Amino acid sequence: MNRAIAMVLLSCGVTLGAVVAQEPKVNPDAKLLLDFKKRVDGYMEMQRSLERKAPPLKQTEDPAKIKASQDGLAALIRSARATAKQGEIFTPEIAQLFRRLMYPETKGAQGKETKQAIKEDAPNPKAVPLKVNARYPDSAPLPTVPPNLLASLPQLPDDLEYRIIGNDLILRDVQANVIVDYMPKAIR
Amino acid sequence: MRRRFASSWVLTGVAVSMLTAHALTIAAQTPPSKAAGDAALPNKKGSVKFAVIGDTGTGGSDQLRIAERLTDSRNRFPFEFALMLGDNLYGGEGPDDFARKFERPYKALLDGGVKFHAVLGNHDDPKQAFYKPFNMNGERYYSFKAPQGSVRFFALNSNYMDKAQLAWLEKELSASDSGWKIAFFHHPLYSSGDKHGADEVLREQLEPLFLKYGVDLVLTGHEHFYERIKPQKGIHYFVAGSSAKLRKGNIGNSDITAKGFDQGYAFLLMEIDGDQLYFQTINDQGKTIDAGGFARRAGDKKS
Repeated sequence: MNRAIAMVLLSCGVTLGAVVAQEPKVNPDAKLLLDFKKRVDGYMEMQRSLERKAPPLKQTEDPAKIKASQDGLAALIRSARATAKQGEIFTPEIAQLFRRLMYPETKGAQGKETKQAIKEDAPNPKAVPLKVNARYPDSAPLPTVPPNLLASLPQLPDDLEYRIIGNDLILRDVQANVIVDYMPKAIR
Repeated sequence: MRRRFASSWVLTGVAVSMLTAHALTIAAQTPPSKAAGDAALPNKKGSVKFAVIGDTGTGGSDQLRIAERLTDSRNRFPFEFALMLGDNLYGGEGPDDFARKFERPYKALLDGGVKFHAVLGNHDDPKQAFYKPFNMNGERYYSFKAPQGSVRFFALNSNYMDKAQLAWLEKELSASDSGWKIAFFHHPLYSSGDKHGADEVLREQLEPLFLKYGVDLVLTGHEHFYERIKPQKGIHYFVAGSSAKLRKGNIGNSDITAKGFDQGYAFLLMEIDGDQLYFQTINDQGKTIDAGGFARRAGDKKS
């Protein structure tokens, strides 16, 4: 009897093993994170190619040159992404994953502190246009992103950053001061 | 050789003109080398001398008044550089704003060769890193060595403490053999402010690194008042975000406060001479509202 069970189990194991070998299981989160990386890399490739056409951003004593470089790059990006829409980087699937990744950091007592930190000196959400290609307003403070939230999200290239406005997450191009994409209701 | 210093001393409860000797009460331990009753920094030849200002960029009359006091101070205490603790430019950041909120208020100091080192506050666009007079070298976080002495400063971007910055900080701290390690950034890890308070989430990330690598002193702004915190786990913390903005009466009742001042604008002068650090906090009337010193907490003694 025991031998029969063992034979069945062995047979199942071999069969399952064969199935696993034929169709390796893919971690859906990893697949989405890879998708996100590809989208970000795609944006950065475009941004870097445009950067070469914009007035160079280098150290200067003249703030007008910094502004000219930033505005020049922003104009080129807006032109190149004229048809870009919300969700091109934060696709619905990626947005869902991000919400899930951030959720543990915003629940419970620790989460209360994190939410409080997000609200610290945050601009009035109405002051920041939730619009792809919009300029982040000069006069609006850049709200601090709590480090535990940053740690829960994929690392971005230097030229991009996450910011949280109200409950929404925006992806901001630091060099051009442009909103690349946004994700409504990111924080539950 | 590993050495541990524990001495610290403060002069409190008095308002005195800078560098003017007065009879003062020594509130804590007597400094080992400086005579009691002398509120002035030692102002020693060859020491590292610097100023600290925070939350400055309003372009208003209060910023100008503090800038004047700072300039006056330099006539007697020739500091070579100044640390800016963030919120360097409130509101707009066009060329006129840089002129009105930085270049004009500190013109005398800039003309006198004072080098400013800025960090980003929550009101600052990261593009400020490319503004040469802020000496950030195009970086949102960076470190630099004092012109003399064994002192290294770590300038952090506390708005955006991501994994890359934390990894950079650990690498920089572990590689530094400076006797004094001083971190400065915008958001306070400890504060008694009713408006903001301590950033405990940030503290969880930074404090372990500061402790592990022997950071002695942490300077922050954000809160619009002056507060010297009682040493926390051996590290000295100052909040100095009232160099142009003031939140009167905002220091709450807290047992971490060593000295608080929320009734006027203020800036700090600091001097490092070997293993000793001296500080003097001056308000917009030119009065000293806090002064004292301490020895660095641990680490290899460097010349």
